[in-house]
Amino acid sequence: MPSAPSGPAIEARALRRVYKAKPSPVVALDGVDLEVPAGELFGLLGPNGAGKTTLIKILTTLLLPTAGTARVAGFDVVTETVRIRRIMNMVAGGEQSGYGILTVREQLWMFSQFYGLGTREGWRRTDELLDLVGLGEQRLQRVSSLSTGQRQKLNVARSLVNDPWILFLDEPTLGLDVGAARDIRGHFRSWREAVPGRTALLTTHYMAEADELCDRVAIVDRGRILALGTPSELKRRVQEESLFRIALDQLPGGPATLVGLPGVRSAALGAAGAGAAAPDGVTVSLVLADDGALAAVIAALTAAGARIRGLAKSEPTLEDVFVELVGRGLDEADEAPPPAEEG
Amino acid sequence: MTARVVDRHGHRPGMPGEHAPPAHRITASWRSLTTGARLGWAIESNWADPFLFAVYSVARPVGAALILVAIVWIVSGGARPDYLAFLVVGSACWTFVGGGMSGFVWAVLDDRERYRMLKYIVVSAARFLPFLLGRASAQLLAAAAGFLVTLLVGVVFLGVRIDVGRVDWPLFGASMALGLGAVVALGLAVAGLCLTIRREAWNYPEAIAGGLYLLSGTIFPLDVLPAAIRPLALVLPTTWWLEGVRRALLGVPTPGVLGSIPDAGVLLALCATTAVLTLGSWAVFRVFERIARERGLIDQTTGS
Amino acid sequence: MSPPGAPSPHLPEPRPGAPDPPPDPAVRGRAAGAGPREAASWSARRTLATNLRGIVGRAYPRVRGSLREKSWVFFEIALPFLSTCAFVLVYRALEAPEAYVGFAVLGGAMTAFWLNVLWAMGAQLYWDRGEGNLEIYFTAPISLMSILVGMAVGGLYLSGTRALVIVAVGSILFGVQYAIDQWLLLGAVFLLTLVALYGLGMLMASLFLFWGREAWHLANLFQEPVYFLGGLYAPVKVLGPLAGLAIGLLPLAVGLDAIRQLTFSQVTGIGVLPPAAEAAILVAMCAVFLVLARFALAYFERKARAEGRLMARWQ
Repeated sequence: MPSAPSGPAIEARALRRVYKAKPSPVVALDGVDLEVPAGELFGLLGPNGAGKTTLIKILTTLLLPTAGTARVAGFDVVTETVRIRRIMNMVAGGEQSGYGILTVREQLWMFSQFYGLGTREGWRRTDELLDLVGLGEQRLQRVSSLSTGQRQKLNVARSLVNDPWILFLDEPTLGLDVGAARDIRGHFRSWREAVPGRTALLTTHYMAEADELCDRVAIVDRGRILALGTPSELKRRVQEESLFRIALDQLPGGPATLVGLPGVRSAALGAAGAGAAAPDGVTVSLVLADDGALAAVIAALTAAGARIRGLAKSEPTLEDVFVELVGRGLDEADEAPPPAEEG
Repeated sequence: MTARVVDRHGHRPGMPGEHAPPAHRITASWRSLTTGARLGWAIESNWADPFLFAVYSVARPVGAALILVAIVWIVSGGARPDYLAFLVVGSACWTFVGGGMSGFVWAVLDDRERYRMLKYIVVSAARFLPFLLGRASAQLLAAAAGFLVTLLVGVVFLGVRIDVGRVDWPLFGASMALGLGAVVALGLAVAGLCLTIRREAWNYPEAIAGGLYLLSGTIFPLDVLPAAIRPLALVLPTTWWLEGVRRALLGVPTPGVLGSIPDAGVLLALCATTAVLTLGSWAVFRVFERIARERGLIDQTTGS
Repeated sequence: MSPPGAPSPHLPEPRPGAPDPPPDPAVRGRAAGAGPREAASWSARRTLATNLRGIVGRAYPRVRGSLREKSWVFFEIALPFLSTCAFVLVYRALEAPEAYVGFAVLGGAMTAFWLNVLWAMGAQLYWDRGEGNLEIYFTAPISLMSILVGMAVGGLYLSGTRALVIVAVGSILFGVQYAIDQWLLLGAVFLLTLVALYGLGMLMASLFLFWGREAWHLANLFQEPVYFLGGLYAPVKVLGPLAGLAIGLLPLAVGLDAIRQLTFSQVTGIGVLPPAAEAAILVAMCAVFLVLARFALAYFERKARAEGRLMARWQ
């Protein structure tokens, strides 16, 4: 009979991580407080350089925090690393790791050995997982010959080899086509639903992915959590305002041209994933105090020489929430901290 | 899936810039060479502690020479100064063989598997071959330091007599130029081979250098070799290169098979064997490069 | 903070008589009702078994890779053999006693193990970090020492074959005459040499874990000078005062010195110390290097985690 105390699956308190760098230190995490209950699929949404990957690295025991504490399944990430490693696994997007000389089946079996599965059990689990992720036909192919999507599916299979309680997913669909990304999201969803108590922490900068998968989402920027709630709770924050998307042939001066206008709360270029990008042009997402502010926007655009190709009032998305909180679009922030300290 | 791409004239695609006018090709080659050299130097030296880099550049060749000195010492008790001089010059020259080949091979393997930039270099306007040569030049430069220090150790500590005033500088210069050309050609051939094989190929240059070490009379006169394999030694440019350098620095030919050949004959043999090796290596490189492209191996990662 | 309808905010408590797990392959083997905290508590036996399997897992790609691409037979056996031949021929050129030819053959065989330790174990973490595999090792519930032993075992397949071929072919080709009186001691010395050598390799791997390109250069630095100090091609005794230092620091030096004395018992006065004393030194080296490696790996892992170097690629 287990008698361990229960508690949140993932917990961070005043978590801070600073990288030494020139000319000045980079603060990747700046006092993050977070509590993810067991059974939740929790999303961290933010642009590159927001601190998402740093947080995942700390939680997966690869990086020590500069200050603060973090626990996974109640185990301290600094001192109880081995226990954490027994019950978690991770998937990172855009990875090419692995042994190209091995076949798909051999590589997965090798990882089953790292988690202590018996020889035969390892092969059986390997075959089952390969079928699960749709790589059954590729099982005898060399890893080096897999496509990017297939490699990521193999990565997903690897992450399930130890039957983890907690999965850390760091941009797992990065660089994948729509079909492969949908498959991978489907695997995580069914993995989570199969057993109560399975928990996942997902970082992404794809709004739709976070919206589709996550029970709750934290919006992070520059190492801080700006807002936290369910996707619908977050979207309600901007529901009182009017949201418009305007497709233009061009936008001289960028969204900043519109920000100072009366009634304009924020303006940002449409992001990939928002489904708003116009071919050969730009799409601007606007948060207005009310519909009446639109006239001034249209006048300003006309004066700036922009031609309006389309205009639609839209339902709020997580991107709108991000724009409202941060004051800029996801694609407009692109500063990554250094991966390691200098010197 | 392997696709053979043929344009509408029936030509198969070449390297970028392959069909450019000669002047453009020379400019592109020079730019590729210098860019490769800068990159190679940055990787080999700037990312390491300069002191450590300097030490490692000379410790290997000096260590290798000391092994041989120990052998001579234990057997003859220091009574063979002629043999000691023979060994020191052979060992000093040999730093170029390992270093030169490693420079090429590591350039291919590092850029393919570690930095994953090889594919971008191949598809860029840079000329691949000069780029590789530039990339390998850092190790050749480190080998040059090893060469000088080994000779210095030989002269200062081991009593090897090299009289700067009596060195046959023209013979030395010609031998070194042709010999280094042969080393570069060897490196090129092995780099081509490495385009098609897995990462463990990083130690192949050492293995090949080990084989040549035996056949080129690096540390013993060719007469010691079994008669059946002696002809093999005579078709290797490295054999003639070592003989040329030894004659230039020590002033005497190696006794035995090579002893009766005049200096001009040694140079001629070096010239001919280097030319054949260079042409052969170029062909080998092109063949393996084509195989790598046909099989899609340019961007493979193979770790084990 | 939890949304309506969200699962319980706490880890599942064990439920007596919980239903069978659903038909998800990832669930098989999980104890019914056990939560993550229970799943994280392993018995000593399970921890040991997992580490042993980790060794097998890490050795696997090495062995598989070498079976799949056989060019290593030429490059890692045939050509290094020629290199050994070169030293044999130097002895012949100097008209040295025939036993010295045997010394060179044995030394040539032992280089295989040193190269394996240096490059396929010490410097391997440098490659693994660059390829993103290091992160996966660290997130697995096994000791890094198991990973390193796995590398060693996989590498031993190659280097053991190389050593065996050099000894067998070299002995036949050059007519080496061995005179072995103490087989047991010889076997023990050989095994102790390997354990001490690989212990030293683990110690070096810990440095390589933390360093970047410097580690690569350091491995280069160690190669030939260790051939020299280790007495690979000439008995270490010839080094005079340096011999004591080599015997005290390098497992290769002390091991090879003892092996030479035990395999060429007809030649006297070649050893620095009697073989039994050298075996005792090797026992001490095994203990010291393995313990030091364990602490150094833990220390440098922590330091690398603190400075974010476990994920720092392309250095």
